[in-house]
Amino acid sequence: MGDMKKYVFVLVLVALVAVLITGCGTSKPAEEKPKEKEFEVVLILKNLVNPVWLDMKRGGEAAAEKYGVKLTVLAPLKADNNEEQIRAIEDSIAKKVDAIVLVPSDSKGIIPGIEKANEAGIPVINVNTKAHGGKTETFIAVENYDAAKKVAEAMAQKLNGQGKVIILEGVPGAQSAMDLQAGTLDGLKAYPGIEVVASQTAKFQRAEAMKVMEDLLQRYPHIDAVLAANDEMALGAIEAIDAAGKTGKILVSGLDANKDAVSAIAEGKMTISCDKRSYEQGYVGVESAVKLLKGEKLPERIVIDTVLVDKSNVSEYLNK
Amino acid sequence: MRVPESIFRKIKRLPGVLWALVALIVFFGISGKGFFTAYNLINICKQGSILVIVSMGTTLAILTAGIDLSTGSVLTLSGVTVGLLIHSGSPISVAILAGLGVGALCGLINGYLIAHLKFHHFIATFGMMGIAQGIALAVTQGAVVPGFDAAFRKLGDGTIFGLPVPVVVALLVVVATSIALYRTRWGAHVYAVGGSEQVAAWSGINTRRVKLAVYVLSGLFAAIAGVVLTARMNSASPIAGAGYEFDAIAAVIIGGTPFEGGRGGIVGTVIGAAVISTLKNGLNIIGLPTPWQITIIGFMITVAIVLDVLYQMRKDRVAS
Repeated sequence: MGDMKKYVFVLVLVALVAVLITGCGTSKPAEEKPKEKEFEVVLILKNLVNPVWLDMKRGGEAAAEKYGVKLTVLAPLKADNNEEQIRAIEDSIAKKVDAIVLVPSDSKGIIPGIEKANEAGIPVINVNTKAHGGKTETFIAVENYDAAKKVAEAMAQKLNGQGKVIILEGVPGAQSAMDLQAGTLDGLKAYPGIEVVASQTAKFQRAEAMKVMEDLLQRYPHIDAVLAANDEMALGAIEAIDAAGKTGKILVSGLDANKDAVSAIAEGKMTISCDKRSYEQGYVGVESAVKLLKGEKLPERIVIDTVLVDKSNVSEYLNK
Repeated sequence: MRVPESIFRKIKRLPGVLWALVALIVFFGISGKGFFTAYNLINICKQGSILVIVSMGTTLAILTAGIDLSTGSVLTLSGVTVGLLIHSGSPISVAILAGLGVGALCGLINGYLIAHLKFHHFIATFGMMGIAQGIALAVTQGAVVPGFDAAFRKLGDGTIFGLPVPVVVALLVVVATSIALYRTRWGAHVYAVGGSEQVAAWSGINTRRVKLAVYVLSGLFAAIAGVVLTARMNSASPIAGAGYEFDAIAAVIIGGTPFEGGRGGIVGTVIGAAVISTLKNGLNIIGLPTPWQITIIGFMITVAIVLDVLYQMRKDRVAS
C-alpha cells in the first residue's frame, strides 16, 4: 500500500504540474507586480461553442489588453447551463474580483447569482441577454428594433419602394421576436408602395422557415421580397425559393450575419443581413467595467450600433 | 465473508483518493487567490452537495454492476414537478412530496425493467433518461419555471446550525445510505449481487428485490437533488440536470468503485465528488479556460481507472 500511495501522489503531482503550466499560460507570473492596482474582471459567457460568444470573448480580451486589467473568461462546461453560470459567479466572489461582466443563459434563473454578487458588493455588467432581476450596473445590447428597422428600410430601397413582401417572424411571444417585428413594420411604413402580403412565424428555425415559405409560395407566387427576423429563417426561405426555381427573382433579408448567411450573400442568393457585433459587445462590456471601477457613472443602457451586410461589404465578413 | 472483506478493502483504498483531494486543496490554496477562505470552502461544499446526493444512488447502481444513466433527467423532471406544482398553488410540502414521488417512480420503472423484465441496465436507464428529459421539456414547454417564495428557497440558501441546508441534506442522504449499505443485510446483498449475481441467487438472495430497491433509491436521491437544486437556483429549468449523470458516474469511479461492481463504496464516492467539485471551483478561480477544465476532469477519471487496474494487478500477484 505504501507503493500505491507513492503512485497516486506522483500521478496527482503530474496532473497538478500540467494545470500549473496551462494556468500560467493564461495568467501573468506572480513576480511581475503591476505599478498601480490591477483590476480583476471576470467575463461569464453562455458557452464557448457558438461563434457569437467566441467573438464576444475576443472583444473582451482586446478591451482587457487595452486597459491593462486582468480578465478571466468563464463559461459553463455544459453549454448554457444556468447552475454552472451561478457557480462561476460564486467562485468569482470567492476570488474577490472587482467586477463581473455577465451574459446570462437564463434571464430568470441567473437572478440568485446576481443577488449573491450584489450582497458581496461586486458590480455586475449585463451584456446581450437581459437579466430579469438583481441589481446590474448597465445593460449592453443591440437594439433588435433598430436593427430590424434598418434592414427593412434598406430592403425597401432595394425594391425602389415598390412590391409585395412576406415577413417571417420569430418565436411567438418572445420579446426579441416582438421587437424585431415592430422594427420591420415601422421600417416599411415610410414606403406606401410596399405591400405586406403575409406575415407568419417560422420560430427562428431554418427547417420551419423552409416549410412555411413553400406553402406561401403556392399562395403568392409573385412576391418580390422576404424579410426574415433572423438569418436561419432567411436561409430556410432561400431553400424554398431555390426549389421553386425563383432564385434571384425574390430578394431575401435576415439578421445576425452568421457564416452561412454571409456565404449566401456572397453567392447572390441573399440580399441583406445585419451584424449584431458580438465582438463590440464583449469589448464594451469589459470597457464599461473598467470605467465603472475608475469611478465613472454608467448609463442604464448602452446600445451597440449594428452594421448592415450586403454585397458591397460582404468580403470583409467572408474572411472572418 | 465477502462483505467485511470489501469494507476492509475500501478502507485500505481510501488514502489514494484522499491524497488527490488533499493535493488539490494544497495546490489551489497556494495558486488560487481566495481559494482557501471560509467563504469558498463553504461554497465548495454547497456546490458539491447536489452531486453528492445524486452520486449516492449511482454508487448503489454501480455496486450491483449496473448503472443509472437517468439520474440527471430524473433530477430535472422532479425539479420541474415541484416548480410547476408550487406555481399552481400547491403547498410546498405537497409539491416536494410529489417531486420525490416522481423520482421514485422513475426509479421503480427502471428497477422493474432491469430486475424483473431482464432489460440491460444501460438500455433501461438510457431510455428513462430520454423519457424524463422529454416530459420535463413538454410540461414546461421548454421554458424555465421561475421564482419561488422565501420558505422554499431556504432549502437551497438557508442554514441549519450554521451549515448550509444543501450540505445538511447531503449529509443525511450519505448517513442513510451508509446505514443501509453497511448496517443491514440488504447492504451486504448489494455487494453480493455486484460480485456475482448468479452466486448471490444460488445462496438464496432475492436479487430482483435488491436491484429494484437500488434503482428506486437512485431515482429518489436524484429527486432530492432536484428539489434542492430548484431551491438553490430559485427556478426549475427543463435542462437543469443535463449532464449530472456523468458527473455522478465520474465521482463514483474516481472514488474507487469500479464498473464491475461488488467492491468500493460510498465514502470513496463522497471524496470523488469532493475532488470534482474542488477541481471545478479551483479551476474557475485560477481562471483556466473551459476546454482545459473538461480535459483535466477527464484526465482525473482516467488516472483513477489506471490506478484501480494497477491495484488489482498487484493484489492478484500478492494473492498468487
